Amino acid sequence: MRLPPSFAAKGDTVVVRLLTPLAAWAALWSFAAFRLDPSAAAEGRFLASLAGGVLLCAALASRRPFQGLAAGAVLAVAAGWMLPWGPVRGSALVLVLVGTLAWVLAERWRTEGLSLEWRWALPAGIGIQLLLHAELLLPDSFGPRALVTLLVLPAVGTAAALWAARDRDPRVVGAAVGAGLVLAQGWSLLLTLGLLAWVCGEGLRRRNPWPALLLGLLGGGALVAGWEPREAMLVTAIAVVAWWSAADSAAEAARPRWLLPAGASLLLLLVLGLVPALGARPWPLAFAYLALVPLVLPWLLVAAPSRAMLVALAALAALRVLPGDGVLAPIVATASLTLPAEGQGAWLERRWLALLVGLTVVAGAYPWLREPAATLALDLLGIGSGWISALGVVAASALLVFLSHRGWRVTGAAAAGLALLAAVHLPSSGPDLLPAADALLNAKHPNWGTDLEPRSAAALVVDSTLAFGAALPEGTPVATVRCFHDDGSRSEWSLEARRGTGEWAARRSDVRAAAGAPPRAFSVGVSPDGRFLGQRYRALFEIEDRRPVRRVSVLRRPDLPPEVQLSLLRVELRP
Amino acid sequence: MRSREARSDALAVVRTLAEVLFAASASLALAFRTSPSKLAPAAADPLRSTLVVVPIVALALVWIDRACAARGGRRLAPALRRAHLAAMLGLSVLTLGRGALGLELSAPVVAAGWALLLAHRVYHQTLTLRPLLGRRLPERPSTLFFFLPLVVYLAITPWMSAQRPPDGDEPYYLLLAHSLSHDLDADLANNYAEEDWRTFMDRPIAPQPGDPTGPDGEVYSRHNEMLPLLLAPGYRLAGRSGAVMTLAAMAALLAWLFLRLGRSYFPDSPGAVLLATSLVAFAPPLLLYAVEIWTEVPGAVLATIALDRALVLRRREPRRWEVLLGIGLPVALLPLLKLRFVLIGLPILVLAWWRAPRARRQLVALGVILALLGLGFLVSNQVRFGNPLKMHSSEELDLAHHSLGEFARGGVGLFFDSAFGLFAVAPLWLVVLPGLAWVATRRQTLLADLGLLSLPYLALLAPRGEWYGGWSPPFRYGLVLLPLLGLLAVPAFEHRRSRGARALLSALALVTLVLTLAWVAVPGWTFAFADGKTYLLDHLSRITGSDVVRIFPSTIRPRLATWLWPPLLAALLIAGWWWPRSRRGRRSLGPPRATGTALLLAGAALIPLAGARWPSHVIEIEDAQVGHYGGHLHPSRWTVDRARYRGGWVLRPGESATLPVVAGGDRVAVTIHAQWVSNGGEVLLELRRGEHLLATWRPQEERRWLVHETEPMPWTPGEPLVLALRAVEPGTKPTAAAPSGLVIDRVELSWSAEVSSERADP
Repeated sequence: MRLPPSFAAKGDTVVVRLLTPLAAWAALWSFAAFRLDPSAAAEGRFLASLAGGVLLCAALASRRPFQGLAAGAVLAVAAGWMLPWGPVRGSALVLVLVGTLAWVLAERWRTEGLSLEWRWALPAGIGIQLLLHAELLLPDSFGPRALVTLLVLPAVGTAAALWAARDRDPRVVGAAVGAGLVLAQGWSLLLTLGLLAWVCGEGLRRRNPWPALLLGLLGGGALVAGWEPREAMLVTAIAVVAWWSAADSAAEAARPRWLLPAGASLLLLLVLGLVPALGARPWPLAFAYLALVPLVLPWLLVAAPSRAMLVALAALAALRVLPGDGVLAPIVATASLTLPAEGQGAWLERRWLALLVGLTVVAGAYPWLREPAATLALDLLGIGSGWISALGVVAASALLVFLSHRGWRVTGAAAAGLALLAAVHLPSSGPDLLPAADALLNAKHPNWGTDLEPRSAAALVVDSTLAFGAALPEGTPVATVRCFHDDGSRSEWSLEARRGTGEWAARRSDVRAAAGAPPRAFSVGVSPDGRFLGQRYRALFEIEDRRPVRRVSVLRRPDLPPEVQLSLLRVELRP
Repeated sequence: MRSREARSDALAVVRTLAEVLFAASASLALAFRTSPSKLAPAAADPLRSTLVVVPIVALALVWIDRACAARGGRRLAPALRRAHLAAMLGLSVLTLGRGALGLELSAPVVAAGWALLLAHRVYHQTLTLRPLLGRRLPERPSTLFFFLPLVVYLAITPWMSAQRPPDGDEPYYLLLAHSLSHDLDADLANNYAEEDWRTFMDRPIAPQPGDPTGPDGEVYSRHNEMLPLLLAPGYRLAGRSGAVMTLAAMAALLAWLFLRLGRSYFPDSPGAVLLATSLVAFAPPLLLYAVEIWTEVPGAVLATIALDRALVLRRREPRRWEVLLGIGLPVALLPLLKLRFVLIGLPILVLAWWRAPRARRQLVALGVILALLGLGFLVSNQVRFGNPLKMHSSEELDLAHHSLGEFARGGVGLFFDSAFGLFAVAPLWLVVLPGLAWVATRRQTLLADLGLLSLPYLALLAPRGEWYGGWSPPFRYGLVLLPLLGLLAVPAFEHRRSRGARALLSALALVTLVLTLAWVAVPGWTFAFADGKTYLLDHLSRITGSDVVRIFPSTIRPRLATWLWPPLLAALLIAGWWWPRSRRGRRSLGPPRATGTALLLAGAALIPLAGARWPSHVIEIEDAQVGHYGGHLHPSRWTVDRARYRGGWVLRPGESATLPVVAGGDRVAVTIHAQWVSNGGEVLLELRRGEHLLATWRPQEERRWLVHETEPMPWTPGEPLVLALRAVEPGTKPTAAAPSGLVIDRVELSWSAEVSSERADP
């Protein structure tokens, strides 16, 4: 099967394009299939499937089979061969895949400009979804719903985005979709339905029923399958109403004069009123909500205010009513689609959204961590999470956005300077106090401890997992962690279930069915049988006044059920 | 106008100062950030030195880019520069934050990431330098072709030097440089006594066997003082780092000299010569030796200088002192670096006399001077070492003393050995094979010159027991010939447009890139023990439990692959390079590359499969996939010139080895090559198929290599072969301090099918 002339060079065929990724998949699978260690083999098979899928998407999305794809494939295979199994190999391989996909898209952008075409946008969308939802490739998670998540949602979402790009600036569409992908951590049902709802609204205004039919099919199917039905329906309904009832240009010109200041005042009151409520939300959601401010305000001043107000009200309602971090994704994405291509504030909004994407999308593709990507990004910067951090990042990002208006040279210098400033503040890691093997604490051997040369330390980090601990309620004390100081005093903390530690098999289907959604993990790894991702947890305990520590101990609580075991994976004193 | 120019110049100066200040501040900040913590003062971040030089290297690369544009070359695309900046910032965050991510043991991977970014930058920057060469190679190429390799070597030096403390002959060169720069003499007695080696390494060193001594207790080095003399100024300024930077500058000079040398043979092929220069400069082995202290790099520099002058004299009259300084001085210095380099210098003199008739008189005079100098050198060696050839014997010069097999082993091994060969350390060098074929058919002059210059040296080198260079990165002894090999690569690059060439180039370049990243990230992997194996192949054997090493050639431990790979590779490269050209019209650069890459990856997929499915015929007991339960290597790993011994594994009573076997039939006859070391007790070797006893063997003769063959025995696929040693009389105490043991070299397996019990009557 030949590809269209505009798409590829002469002699290019689908078979030729797929040769490299298929060969890479075969090589990785071969290295995994013959491994003696079953855990390493299971991880190898998982990485082979992920690499094969992402490279296939990259091959289809690339402008021609060029060296970036080949280099990425060879580097991925080399990582599978040379690196020891575990987080390092997985991280390196996924970074190679992310880099390959990013390079493919950048090459498209460089050679063809920003025209969105289904030929490359669809495989790129599926590739991104694979990276963000790699877990769905594991046997425990694989099934019809996984296939819908990996293939149908990106396809429908991409189609909606392409429909939007027909008469809009592709950069706006790209930024909108990117913001949605970041907030929803990939193509979620909500995001897809939200984009589809926007298309539906536009279609209904133009007397085109097909988008509405597709929306009904997808939404109805999700309802029947029991897939987030209430939230999906609510968001979809809000979006459809918002776009269908939005005023057209003639009506917009006839709006009363008091509408603008009244609407702005109402919006301001609502925002101020919600600030305390936002404090109770996970901060990434609050951070994303702040992103609405530069989106909405310029509209009130220069664009269609009624539409903007409807979007803002929809967002506020969703934030109040609906749970979950990704609920703002469709709101932000669809709101962004109405950004004006030119005019005051347009460049500010586009760059702001681009920064939002750039700040967290790569971290979001990091497979071994399941902290929210934005939390991870700020934790890495060592400035912690919370309102102050969020405002700091907003300020730094706004500075870069302003400077970019003055040219890339200034922006590059400023970015390098900010990065250097941040880099100096990145947290240091300390030595691992555990011996070579992990420490297993059970009913017979509940205690672990080690003496060391007295050293000042700012924090104690404990990485651990529980076995047979899924039934423990959240907050159940599992172990007592102690630091004995040079002056005879001691610091004591409680390691609690589903907070500082948790069940390693929390994502296994039977455990998930019994114990509910898995707690937030620090990192994940392929289980020895290769069927699911095991979870690993990190607890960080701050030591007051950096008092010197001469002994560290961890004591399993005697009141735990006898079968519950605590595995200590890393005990680290941070300087 | 003038004031505008003055203002522009002033702005440029201010900008330069600001950039230097920023880079220096960034380096200082990163150095502060990564200084060893009070919690772990000994555990400094291994990437610290790399991070500190990143701002400086980045600034140098920016300046090179600007200078290229100012001199008529192209500037890197803005999008590419931004991408590199973003990648650099991302890698910095990853480097500093990897501890917080819980990514232990990730330093080499991050180092490989930095190397990949550097490789990408260098690749694109080299393309922008192409216009500086014009349509015909200039006599004096731009200095940017020196500075770019120099920046690359300086960028990788901090990491590689930290990962690989001085080893092999390096510590002794450094100690000699220390003595020359501090004591202004070559007497090392005080330097050993005061432990001056602590300034550059932690492991103690002592005088080497063969080091001459003086009447008053002086201790001299058996190594020539020439290299330490070159390193002394840099060492005095900055210690080991200064010495390494001196070597790096020499390696960069070699790259520039090669570009100049290309003018003598391929003046109208600047693009192809530039590609060959990139291969010489940025690929192993020069990339590895540029950051280590060996005589080979300065030797190659001197040889290239002399050769370049000799070839220039073909075209014009010699200038005053040109013959003496341009040819005579380098040729005279070569044996002072290393005695064997005289076999490089003399042919250069002969070539100069042959090709430059206008300078023959001066060359004859030079020859007389050099002969007298050489005589003096031999007399000096006789006085100091009691041997005019120092540690070498005259037998080594007698080519008839060596068999053809020894020549073949060394000659093939220099290029094809999987641990020490040029093509194994950087497969892209395989392009010299089609290049050689082209030269052989079309450029007899070049072929004759290359033969004259390389064959005497190779003839001496190949039959040596230590042809592989001893404890060093691969292709050590052949490095001085690298410029000549680079010349062979030029015609191959000139004809790289055919479909086969593009497919092969793509595959070779990619695997070379991956291997180069591995060598830079883990420099220790380039130092192989002469046991027929490599780290990478051993790693794969260990994790799969199958013998994949046998698939690759080795002349240290010859096997079938050793004699299959060279002709197959030569045929593939030569035939593939001259594949039919693509038709006119729109040429696609895509499909041949995709095909080449796919075939490369398919080959990689076959390696574990072949290891697990190819029937076992020979199993070396010391191999990585063999499970050892007790015992030890024989001879020990650090035995000098270990390749001369039959390597094996010692089993003592109660110890065993488990050999994974891939069945090739229903019955197997086992042949064991072993030596019984009796210390007063007899031993019995049990051969088991898993838990099932197949046969036993009681060696009768001690302290000589024995071969024991069993009858064909039934075999079940999937079972291992277990060799377990027992004392003949358990409980008997040996009379000597050490128990008896069996040194097992290898096991050979002969497969046959099960014989049917019913046969048809004839």
